[in-house]
Amino acid sequence: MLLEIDNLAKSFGGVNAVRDVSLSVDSDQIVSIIGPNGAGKTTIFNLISGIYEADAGKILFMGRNIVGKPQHEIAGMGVSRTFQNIRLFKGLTVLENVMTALDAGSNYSVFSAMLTLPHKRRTDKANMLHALEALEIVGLTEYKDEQPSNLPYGLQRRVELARAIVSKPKLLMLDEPAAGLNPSELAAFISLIAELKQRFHFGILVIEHRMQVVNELSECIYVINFGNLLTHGNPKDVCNDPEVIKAYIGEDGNGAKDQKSLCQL
Amino acid sequence: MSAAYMNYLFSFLINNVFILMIGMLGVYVLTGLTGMFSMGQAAVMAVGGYTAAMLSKFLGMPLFITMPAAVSVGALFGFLIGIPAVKLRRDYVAIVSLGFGEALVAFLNNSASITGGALGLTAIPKYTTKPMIVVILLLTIIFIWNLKKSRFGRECIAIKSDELAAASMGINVARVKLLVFTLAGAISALGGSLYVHTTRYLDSAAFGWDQSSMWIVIVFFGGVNSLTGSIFAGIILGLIPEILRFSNELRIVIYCIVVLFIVNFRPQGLFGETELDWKTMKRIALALAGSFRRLFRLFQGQRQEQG
Repeated sequence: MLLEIDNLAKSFGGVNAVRDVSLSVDSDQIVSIIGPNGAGKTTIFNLISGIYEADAGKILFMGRNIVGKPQHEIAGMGVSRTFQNIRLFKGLTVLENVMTALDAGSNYSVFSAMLTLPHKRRTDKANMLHALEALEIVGLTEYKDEQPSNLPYGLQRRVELARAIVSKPKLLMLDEPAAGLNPSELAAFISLIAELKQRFHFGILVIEHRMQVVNELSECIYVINFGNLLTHGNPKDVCNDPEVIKAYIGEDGNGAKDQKSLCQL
Repeated sequence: MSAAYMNYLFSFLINNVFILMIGMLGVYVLTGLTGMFSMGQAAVMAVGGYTAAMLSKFLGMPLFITMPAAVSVGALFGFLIGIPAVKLRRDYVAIVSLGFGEALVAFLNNSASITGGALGLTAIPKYTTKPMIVVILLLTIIFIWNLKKSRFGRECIAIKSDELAAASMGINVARVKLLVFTLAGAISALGGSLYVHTTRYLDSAAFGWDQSSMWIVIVFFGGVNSLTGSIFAGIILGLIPEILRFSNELRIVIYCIVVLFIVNFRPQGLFGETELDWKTMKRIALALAGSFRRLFRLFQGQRQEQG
């Protein structure tokens, strides 16, 4: 198993953001986390990538417990992510933004950087080619010298995606990657993710509200509500689960009568 | 303007503006690239100056020993300021470095038996020549330029822009910050060693927080990410008070007005984030040529109308 989370818990003061969540992701598998706003989905991502330290529970990445490890080490092990609110680096071009994900892995010293020694030139050139390759995959080659803030929202999301995949991670975490995309962009995005999985075979963990993305892509869905794991299983079963529908639409709401399944959302 | 005045201005530019600019380049690496405010950078320059001054004055060491010694001691002090600073949030870094710098200056001022105290150190051997200062400044600029275009430059800018995202890219934020503090200390101390061997006099009072904050003004004036912008701003802001010397007190006012104008109307700095490299110069040249051509055509059109 690539990622295995056991009984994870995290609270902020009196708020139990994550209470008791267990989930697992395998390589070459897409797993989705869904749940109402404030359910604790992004907190789970932040716990995995080391931004917060878990209060209890284990996060096993390739068999090693990564709870308490600093963020950069976890990233170095092969966990990369995108952010819900885009976090691209201001002051760097699109290409340089993507290259930063590779820079931590290059090993030339300050002195060879200041003197531009051959070792530095070779490493940076190889990294640039990798970054260009990643930009080509997401279809942004023509914008490589732009400042990311000059790009429209949808393209900025794709820059973040390129930055996340360029280091060939083992686990890719996407936090609401389809938010704000229009229907045609959405279809293109879904096929892009499917293609990425086929090409690189990484495990993908997705937080998403758009049920179309979740249903078409994921093999397994975890439903979180108030920090608790509600249920998990394949998309069809989860969508028809009355508990899930209750959490999403409410018990006696008007929606519940017409909408028998989340699959139709 | 008399030739003597031009001559004076020229030697002021090299002996004063250029040397202080090396100190400022340390602040550029810290504040411009990495986004950390150091209010004690001038004190690190003073440390470099005292190291070089004492080694040469009391022990008769030549320049090729005093300069590397100053750089190493400066790097050490930069590292020491960096240790507490990397654990703190950005605004607290300014306070820590301010305290550190002021304490250092006060210490140097009060240990009169070694440093000369408030009287300062005098009769320090003069080792530098004008071409030498220019060459050392150019080398420093080239080194920093290369650094900016390497993984370290990208990591620094990433940290300045978004520390959390930088860490999730695998960047060891604390290590990069510590490295930058050390490097900035080395650069500023290099400027300090050149300063003492040029002016032959050192008084720690000149290296308090006012000098440090002046450097931060210069970096912001030029454009935070832009090395060429900082250099340009360093020359302009270094020369303005000297050129306006005839107007006595008014020069401070004019200086402040210039700075406030930039802060108000171009908050990203004179150059913003662009560097004045070949690509930008070519673009500017093409744009200028284009507008000249248009002007020329307009002019011709008018003549034809008249004819």
